[in-house]
Amino acid sequence: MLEFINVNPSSGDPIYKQLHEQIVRLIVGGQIQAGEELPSVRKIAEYFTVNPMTVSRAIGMLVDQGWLERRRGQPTRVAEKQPQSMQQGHALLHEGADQLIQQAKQLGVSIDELIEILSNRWEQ
Amino acid sequence: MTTALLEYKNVHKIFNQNMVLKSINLIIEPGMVVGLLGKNGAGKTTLLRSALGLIEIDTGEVFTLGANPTQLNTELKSQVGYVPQQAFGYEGFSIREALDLHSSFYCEWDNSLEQDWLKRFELNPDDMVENLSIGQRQALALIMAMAYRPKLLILDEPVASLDPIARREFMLDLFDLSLESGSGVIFSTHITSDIERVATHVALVKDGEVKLFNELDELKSSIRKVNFNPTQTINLSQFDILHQTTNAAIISGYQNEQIPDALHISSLSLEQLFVELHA
Amino acid sequence: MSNQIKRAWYRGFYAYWFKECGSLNYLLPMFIGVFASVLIMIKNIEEVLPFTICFTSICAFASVAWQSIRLQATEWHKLVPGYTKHIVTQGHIIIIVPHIILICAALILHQYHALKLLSISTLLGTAFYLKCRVTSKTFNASAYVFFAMIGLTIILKDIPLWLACSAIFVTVILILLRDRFGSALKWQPQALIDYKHALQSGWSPIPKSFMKGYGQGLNKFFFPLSYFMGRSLLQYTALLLAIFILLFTLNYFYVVGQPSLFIFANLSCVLVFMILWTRIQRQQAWSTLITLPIYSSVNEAKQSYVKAGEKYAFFILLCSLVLVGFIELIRFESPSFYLTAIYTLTNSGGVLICFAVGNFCRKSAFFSVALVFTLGFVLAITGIVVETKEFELAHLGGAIGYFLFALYANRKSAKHLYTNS
Repeated sequence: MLEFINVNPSSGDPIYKQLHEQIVRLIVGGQIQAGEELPSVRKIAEYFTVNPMTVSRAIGMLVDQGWLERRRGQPTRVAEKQPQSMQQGHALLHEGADQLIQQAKQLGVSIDELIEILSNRWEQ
Repeated sequence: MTTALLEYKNVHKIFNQNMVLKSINLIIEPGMVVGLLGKNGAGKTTLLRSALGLIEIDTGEVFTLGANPTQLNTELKSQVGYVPQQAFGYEGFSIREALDLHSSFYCEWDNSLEQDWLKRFELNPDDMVENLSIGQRQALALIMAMAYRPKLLILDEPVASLDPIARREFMLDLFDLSLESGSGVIFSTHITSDIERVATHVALVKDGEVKLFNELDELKSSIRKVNFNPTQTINLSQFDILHQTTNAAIISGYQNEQIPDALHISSLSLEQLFVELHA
Repeated sequence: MSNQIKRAWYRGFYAYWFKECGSLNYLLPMFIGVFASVLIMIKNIEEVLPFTICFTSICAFASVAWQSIRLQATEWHKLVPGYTKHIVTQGHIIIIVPHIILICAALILHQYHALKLLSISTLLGTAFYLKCRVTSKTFNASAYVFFAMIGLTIILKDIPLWLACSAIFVTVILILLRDRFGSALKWQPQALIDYKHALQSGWSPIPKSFMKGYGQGLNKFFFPLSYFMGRSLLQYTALLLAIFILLFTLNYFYVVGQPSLFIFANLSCVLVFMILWTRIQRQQAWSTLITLPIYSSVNEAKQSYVKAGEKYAFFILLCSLVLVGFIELIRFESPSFYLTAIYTLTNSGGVLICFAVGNFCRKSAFFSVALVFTLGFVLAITGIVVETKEFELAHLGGAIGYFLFALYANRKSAKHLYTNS
């Protein structure tokens, strides 16, 4: 599942945030199934060559938010019951939407024009 | 009793009428991996050397493992690992002989780690140290500094001459050390991407001063570049302004709020931050 | 508490002291000197005893002094627990053991003069060592000063007992007050620079910036010797000429005669040693040299090097001729110029032999060993020449043969020059 995740250490976003966001995306999008086991923190850190503490932080956040569950003596796995996936799905799009809106405003495009552009592009 | 592995308290150092270290205040605790970032000549090496008693400071105090760095006893010395910028000392020795002698000074030498690393860095124990390439010498120096699992690891440009694969291997082992042994690491570098991968904290050194010292994640979350129209006055008083030009400012303390009159707010990579702060 | 690690004092001894060029250069003569001194004491050859005893003693100190510079150049030596002490202990053993051997031999063989000599050399050596523990500057100059003082012992035929006793006394005081000299073996960035410079320049006593910018013609004439030596060729040649003029003047005003010839021969060979040393230190430079458009093949480059060595030998020949010819003219009642001829030939022959042997050597350690023996051999021959009272034609024939053999050996050694290709 790690192949689907792209971590860029040089981005403006902290690594733990990137990991968190992308894992949520994978869960919401269904690329990781409920109950699926995650690789260990160490393996994930090795894979991306990042500090395991960063990975640990991301996993911790996901566990706290209910996306993952930890069981004693067993690897962390994706939770069966996920917290309001629909809403989360929407929330994930907020940042992209904000960027699009900012660009539109810079270019002087109105909200109605923007909705039209979106509809057209959706069809393609 | 302080738990800090390394502490600088208001440290100043003058050399040839230049202030090479100015008001340095830093604390390094177990588990921290501190990346020291700065231009050549910014004072990184002096900073690190003063933690080891190699350079004496003029004012302020340095506590290495709680003690005066010029008076470290045997026990404390075996808990500090140091890799200097320039490798020197085992000319005439073969790698095997050098490791044999060096390891005899430490009780806690991990032979399996040594063998593991020799294989990993592709070092032949029968090669003469003086015939090694710079990267190989650096790798050997790393082995010598880490094989006894020191509590405090001080590295001066440790990976500058290692190829990307060797760098990766080194970083992974650094994690093991800091996590499993609860060690603290401070390393100086100008490869920002290495810091972004490895470090928990960043200290940016400019002209002998520590301009920034923060958790890396925190830094990335809260530092932004704000572009604005030079003719308009913009209110950035609620933030910490790190640097300002006529049409842009680097601020810290950003928490996703709206900034009126801002044309563009962007996050920065460490490299961009470094460049901007030196502009 | 602290775990005292069981570590034998000799751990790393061989690698640290015998595989490092600098210390090896002093240790080897020291070993030879110990044997030679004991033998000389047994045979009771009084004239040479002062030289060998003092030389052995100073070499022991010099080796340890040199390694003190090396320690000062090593950033981490005080950070590895027990490292410094380990090396220093080894150094002390290197100083103490030969001295004990010499003292015992002197006592057993009733050579009390040797004991007095040792007291002086120990004083000089201790001062030298204590100074080098504290600073890396002027190692070369100090070394030369101390070695030159050995020359004094040759002049001071008899050392008074009071002098010997005071020497011992002052030595003890110095050792007791050693911490007053400054912080011992403290790391300093200058030390690494001094260490590397000394190693590269072959312990030249001349500072780097001397006579900067001169000598283009000289460099061209002696190319490619000059290619490896850089500025030091000019400096060494100037040094040689300066000493030549000094000896010349000395002989004009005083009767110095034979010893000055010996000294000049000594110096010529030492200079050759330094020239060859620079080549060994810069093996990599051959590849650049060969790619220069002046040579059409590797062989040509080698031949050119060897011929440059020849030129240098002829330069020595000329100086020798003038020097000894002058001495004979001024100082001898009936100069036959036999001495002139023989000395000139043997001296330049000796230089060529040094070149030949040096050209055979690839590694600096082997080079040091070989050259020590070669130097010994060459100087022995010169010594014989200088000391001979009566000359015969046969001697001249021998000298000519020696010189021709040396020329041939030098030419032949071109084939064996190691060019890293």
